[in-house]
Amino acid sequence: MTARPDQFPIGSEVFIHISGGWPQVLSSLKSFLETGKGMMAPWHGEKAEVA
Amino acid sequence: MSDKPQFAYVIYIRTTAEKLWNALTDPEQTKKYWAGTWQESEWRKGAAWRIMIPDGRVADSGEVLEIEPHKRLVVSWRNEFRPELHAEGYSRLTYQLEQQGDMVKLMVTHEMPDLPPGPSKFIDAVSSGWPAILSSLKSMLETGESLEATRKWKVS
Repeated sequence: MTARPDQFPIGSEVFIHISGGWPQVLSSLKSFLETGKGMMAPWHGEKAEVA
Repeated sequence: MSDKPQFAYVIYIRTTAEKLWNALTDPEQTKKYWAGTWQESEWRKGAAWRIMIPDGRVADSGEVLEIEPHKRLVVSWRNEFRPELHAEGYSRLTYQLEQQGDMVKLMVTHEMPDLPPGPSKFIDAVSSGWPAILSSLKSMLETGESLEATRKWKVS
């Protein structure tokens, strides 16, 4: 994940929020429950299976 | 970073940046996940912007401050139907969209640039609204159906 230091400087509440993995995990959980397929995290290799 | 009153939320949606952008701005789509409301704007920098309630009232109004289709939108936003929120003046909403593989990372920040640090009734109000709206938006784009609780304006 990336953040934009000019908009969300390190140490700010927003930066911490965006840098954490929770938004991605929770988004993937929601997709999994609703569609049967989770989401591919950007740090996974291209062949990673999450479904 | 300012310590102004603010709300921040990040959600990942399996879609394209173009489809997400359209879902955020197209009246027929926002009605489905944003309590029956829609937004009116010419969607260019400096253009007026407002959120309309199904009964014809203006919920919120402001101006497009920055616009980069499919990537970034910043609007000023003042509540127009709740006096205690209206009194706090203009907020600033930012959407940032980033395509990451088959999903888009949507970052939403809503802040009160002109208020001193501390509590804000406006930020409290939008903080309770955004998670439901954004969750429903994600459901709509991924499954074709928004969440039922977000489909209609609730008369308060």
